[in-house]
Amino acid sequence: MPLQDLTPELRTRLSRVERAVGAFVLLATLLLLTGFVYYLRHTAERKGWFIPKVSYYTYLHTGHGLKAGDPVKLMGFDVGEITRVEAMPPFEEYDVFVEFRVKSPYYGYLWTDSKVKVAAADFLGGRYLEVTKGVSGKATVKEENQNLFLLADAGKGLYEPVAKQKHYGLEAVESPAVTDQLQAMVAKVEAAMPGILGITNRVNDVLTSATIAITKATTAITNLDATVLGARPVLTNLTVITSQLRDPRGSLGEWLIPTNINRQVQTTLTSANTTIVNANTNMVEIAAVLKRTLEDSAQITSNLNAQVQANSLILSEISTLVIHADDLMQGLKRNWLLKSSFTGVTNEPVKSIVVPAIGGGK
Amino acid sequence: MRGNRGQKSEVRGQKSFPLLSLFSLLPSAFSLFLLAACSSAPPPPVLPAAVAQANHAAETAQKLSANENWSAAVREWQNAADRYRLLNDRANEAIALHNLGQAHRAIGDLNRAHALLEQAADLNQQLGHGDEGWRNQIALLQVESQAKQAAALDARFARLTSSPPPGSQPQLQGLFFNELGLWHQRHGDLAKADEAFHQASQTFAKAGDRHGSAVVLANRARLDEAQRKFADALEKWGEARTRFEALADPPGIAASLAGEGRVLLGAGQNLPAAETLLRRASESFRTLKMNDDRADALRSLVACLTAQKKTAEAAEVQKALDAFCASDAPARE
Repeated sequence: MPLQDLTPELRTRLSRVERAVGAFVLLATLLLLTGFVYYLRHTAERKGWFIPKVSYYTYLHTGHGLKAGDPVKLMGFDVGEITRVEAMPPFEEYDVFVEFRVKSPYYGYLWTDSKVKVAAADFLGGRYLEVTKGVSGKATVKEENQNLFLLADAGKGLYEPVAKQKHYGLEAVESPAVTDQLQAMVAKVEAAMPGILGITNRVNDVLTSATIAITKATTAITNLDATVLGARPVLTNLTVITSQLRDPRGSLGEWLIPTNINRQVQTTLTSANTTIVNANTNMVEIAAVLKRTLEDSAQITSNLNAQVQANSLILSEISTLVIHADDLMQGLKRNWLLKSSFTGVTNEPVKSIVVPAIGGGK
Repeated sequence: MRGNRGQKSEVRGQKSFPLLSLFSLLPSAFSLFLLAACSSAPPPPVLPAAVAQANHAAETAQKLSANENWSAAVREWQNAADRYRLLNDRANEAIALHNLGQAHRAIGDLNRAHALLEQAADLNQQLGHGDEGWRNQIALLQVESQAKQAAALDARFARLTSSPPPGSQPQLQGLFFNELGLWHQRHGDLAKADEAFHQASQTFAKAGDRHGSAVVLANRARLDEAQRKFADALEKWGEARTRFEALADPPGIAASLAGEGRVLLGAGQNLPAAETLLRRASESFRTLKMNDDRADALRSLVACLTAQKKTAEAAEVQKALDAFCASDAPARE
């Protein structure tokens, strides 16, 4: 119904109500817009939309565990993010092109001798980029009159505006993911296992041979005892022997060492010589195998050390995570919506104790 | 005709306005909800370490007192009192001194208990804490009654009866009137005692104190017993026992059993039942280390056994009673 059809009184009342509604809607819209603007500003500050940034790139052998949007670290700080991870064409020297941006003022730390380290982030194959601070090179970025200039030619010291020189290349120091390193370590251990088992088998053989040798030695001692016992008649017969020395058939050598004993002694000496030679050979092999095992062990410990060095940031990150989780929990405990869930049992206030007495007894 | 159209339009306008305003309110309400939900209260203030230690000592002592671990309670209440004194927290110091006195009373050190309760009363008087001061005074009445300090008790009652506890504290009134009734009963003024117990019963009922009501009922039963109103006394002791059983109060149950046994013995009715009740009461008092009550129960038991002509058993119980009294006397000294 058109407004002109209403009575003046109703028209006045309606227009007043409409003005009130319009003012309310306007206020609500303004409130929403204010909130949205505040959110935008906060997000821009958080994400650093208005902070100057400079692009860098590097080449890697693999893009495993890296993706656009991942943070780039410098001295433990998040200083930028990866913007592009792309495979290079076939037959190129490098396999993967990685571009990343570093925000102000951190690009001031990046000099020509800065490196891009690709470190393992977790045990799930994740990796991250960490740029190192320059030590003795030239600054990659120069600021003049609030304009950014990127190094174009390190030899000539030539800088070009960022708009022209899009990015600067840094050398990469790539380490494989934790899982790959672990896999390699397991493979090495697996490869070393036959050698270790071989050693144990050989040690077992040596011990068996030693046991046999000891058994034989025991038998020899027993035989020697019997021989000593048997030598007593020899002394008795010594006079007879000496008296017969002048007999051409009773010469000294033939009397002391008969022909059969001489043969047995020679056989025994030959066997002993063979045993010693075998033992020597076995010892040489054992020593060689032990040396190999020690080398493998040293390699394993070296790998473990490298692993620990590569993942030095994990502990600090876990510590940070725990602190943040604690902050979150404390915040939730104070939130008006959730704090009732965390209220503990309160003790009854302490008061003076008096109980009524039953008369008579006490 | 125009007027009619206008009225219809107004009706339509009234119907559409709430819907429109509801829709326009939604974003604002949602924004307000988000703002409120995301806000958080500031963290609660952290108590200073000394205050927290003092409070912890007092809470521990209170638990020890509730568990009737009196020697440990004495140590903790003393600790709490010392800590509150260091903090110059006189209100809590008075509470700790009062409870320390009660713990000393429970272990039989009545002189120390009296001194501590007097200290607490002085502190509360300085602070103008009337209610706490009344608690101190009632505890002092109980201690003096227990220590049989008749003169001090009379003087205190003479001072307190002139201005009884305020009506806003029915529990304190109940405690006071109960003690007053016992005092009158001790002086042989049974009518005033009955009146005082009646007032105590009413005020405990007003305060919703079931234990206090049960105690007053037991005291009224004892008063009837003293007046040789055995039927009334037996009824009241039975009701008191039922109430104490509902409250799971062992001293009250034992006192009720002994009272029922004594009443049956006094009335000369059902002596075997009286014997059973007195034996059970005697055992309960022994477990509760209520020596005076146990001695009374044993004496009644001897009389009950003698009345039943169980002379051998009576002699045996008498022997046990003599041995118990002989062993208890040095302990008191």
